[in-house]
Amino acid sequence: MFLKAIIGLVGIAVLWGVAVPIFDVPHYLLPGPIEVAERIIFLFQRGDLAWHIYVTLSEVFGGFILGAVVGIAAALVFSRFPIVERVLTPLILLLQTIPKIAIAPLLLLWLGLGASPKVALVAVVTFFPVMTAMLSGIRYMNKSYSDLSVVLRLSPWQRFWHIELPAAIPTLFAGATVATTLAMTAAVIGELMGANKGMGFVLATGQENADTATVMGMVILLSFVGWALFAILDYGRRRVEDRFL
Amino acid sequence: MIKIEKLSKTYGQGDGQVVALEPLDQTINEGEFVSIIGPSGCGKSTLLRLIANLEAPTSGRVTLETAGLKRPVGFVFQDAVLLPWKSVADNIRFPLDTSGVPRKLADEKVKELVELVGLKGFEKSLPKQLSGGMRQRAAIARALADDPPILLMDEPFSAVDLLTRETLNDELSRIWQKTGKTILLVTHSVEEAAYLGSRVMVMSPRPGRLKVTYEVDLPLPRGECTKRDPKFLDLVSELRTLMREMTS
Amino acid sequence: MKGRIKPVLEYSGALLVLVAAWWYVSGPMGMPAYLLPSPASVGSLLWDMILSGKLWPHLAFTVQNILIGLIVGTVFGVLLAYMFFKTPSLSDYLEGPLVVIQTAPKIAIAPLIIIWFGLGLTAKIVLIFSLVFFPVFAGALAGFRSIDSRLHDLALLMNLSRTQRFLRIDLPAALPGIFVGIKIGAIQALVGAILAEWMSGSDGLGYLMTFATATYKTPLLFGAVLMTAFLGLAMHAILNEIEARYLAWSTPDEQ
Repeated sequence: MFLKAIIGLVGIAVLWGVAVPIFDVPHYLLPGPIEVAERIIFLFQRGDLAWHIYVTLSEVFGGFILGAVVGIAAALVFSRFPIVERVLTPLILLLQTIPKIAIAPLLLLWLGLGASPKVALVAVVTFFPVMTAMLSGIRYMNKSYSDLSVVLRLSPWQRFWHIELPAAIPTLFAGATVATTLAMTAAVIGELMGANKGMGFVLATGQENADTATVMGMVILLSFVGWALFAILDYGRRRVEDRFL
Repeated sequence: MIKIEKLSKTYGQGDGQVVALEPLDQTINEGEFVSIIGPSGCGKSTLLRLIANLEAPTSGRVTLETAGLKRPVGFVFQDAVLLPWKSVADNIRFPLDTSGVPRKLADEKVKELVELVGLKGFEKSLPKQLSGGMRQRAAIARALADDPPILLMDEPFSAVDLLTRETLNDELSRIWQKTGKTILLVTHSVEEAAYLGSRVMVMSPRPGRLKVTYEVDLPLPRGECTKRDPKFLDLVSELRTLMREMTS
Repeated sequence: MKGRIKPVLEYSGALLVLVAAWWYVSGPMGMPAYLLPSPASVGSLLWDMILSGKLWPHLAFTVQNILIGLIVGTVFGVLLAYMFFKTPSLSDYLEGPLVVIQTAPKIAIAPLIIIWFGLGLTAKIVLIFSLVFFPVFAGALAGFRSIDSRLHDLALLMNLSRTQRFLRIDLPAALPGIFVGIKIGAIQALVGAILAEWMSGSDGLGYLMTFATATYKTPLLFGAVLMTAFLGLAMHAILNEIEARYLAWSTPDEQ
């Protein structure tokens, strides 16, 4: 499976490399894979691509952690006080349904062009899947666990830290996996809409200069960063499940 | 001592109302081993959950002499309910960790308990690596960890095979005599109830209520010869007849 | 009918709370108007734009692009998924690359598409298409793969032609999966449409936003944001309605 996937990936690259000279595609429209690879290496060596990647990743991580912590806290409050959930559910569903792209311009207006509007946007898109995952993790937890916390007279904090959080970890991983893809997208959207650093900024600059090799290189790089984040979380989830369940 | 006064439990409201337990009075003395048997729906598990304060009674009350303690009772569930992300030792130490017992003291206690329930060598195993019987041993050790004077057990051996069950019965009897705890054991098995109990409470279903109690006059310690004792065999057959009447 | 009124009431209540909070922050709390204009000023601006007919072309432009991209993307997504479903060797080699694409921030191809297709309408529709395509493809493939194998036997027994089999058995059976993809694709379509308009051109809600930001017309920005939010909510409601009406057979009855 993995081998075949690599063959598929290499096959696409070869087709691309062969098609460019055969059909005589102009380079400004479609540079070959080697040219794109050289451009990425060039950007790393001469430019500050590593720094831009760092900027985007730190926006993703910062926003992700913020959104996840708030999401877990909200789920905890909802599970302890069903009345709060009952009252807030329509509001939350409404906010969840509103396309996040509509919020982006407001965040840029309020928070400027720096990292903070991107962090905020990432936090907003991370919040919903993490909250939902945590809530269903607690809700579908083996009921005996809550009996156990009553019998052992655990404090609310002990109950969260020793029982609910670990019990919800498999579903939290699933939620976080969904959230990372959204988070990468949110960071890139934020950077495309207005920024002076980050991978989205390099992408937008490439477009303005009609520098196709840079744009394609960044698209590929972003795909792999997104995939790597996804793969790391997926690996973590499988490790946890194999070990304990 | 456990003092149960006019304790009852009703679920639901209006037409959907189900009486799980009719008012029940009973006093259980310190150091007794009370077996509670009865067919499904007789309220025996409800009684145990009410005593453990896992549910609030509809009326009446339970008075525990241990009410002042942080954890008045230890509880063993039907399925072991070990935390799958903690090792056997960590699971047993869990009640101690969550009540601020210093680590060194707790480790000593865990070592002692691991030996008591016969899990030596499995301290570092995860619950999923254990058999059903071993998981239940770990659960019993956890319930005993912070030394509760009262131990409540809700069909603890119903998910283990017959041979393991007999071994665990012998060990429970030994633990009871060694520690002098007050034990309430809910079970489906009349042999188990008679073999372990110093008193047997028989409950009947629809609505759940206490039918009769027997004082078990069998010498301690119990063992293989108990099972051949005519008094034991008489009690078992009497209990079985009662159970048959209730289910037919 | 009774079951429908309650959620409407709840949502209206939630909406009311949001507007009240907005009013409070912009008025009594004293947030400056260039950061947060009052609901009244945004409302009256939107109302004027509706009356003078200035809003309609922008809204229509965005909706039209979304619809075209959504339809074309769905058709191609379903057809390619069917090809993958029918040719397992194809999916063996290409699913790996597709997983990488699936987890990638696909919006990143927006600049590439602008380079390839210019700043006009084509680029916008191509972007929306490519954002819709992947979720529909993934949903459809899952849908085709989860078809009850007895339906395959049925198609064989009835000696259906390929087209008959696709149209009468495989497609309808995979519709629930396809619809999952369409729902995700519709959100993506809106994101793509707004972002494309933000980056280039002089039409659409996204253009209104970037124009308002550049010229510090905060009420206009809020008006465009509100319209985008409502567009998203409306699409969500319409798709749910379609699902409830035509896909009721696929969900177990709630009893």
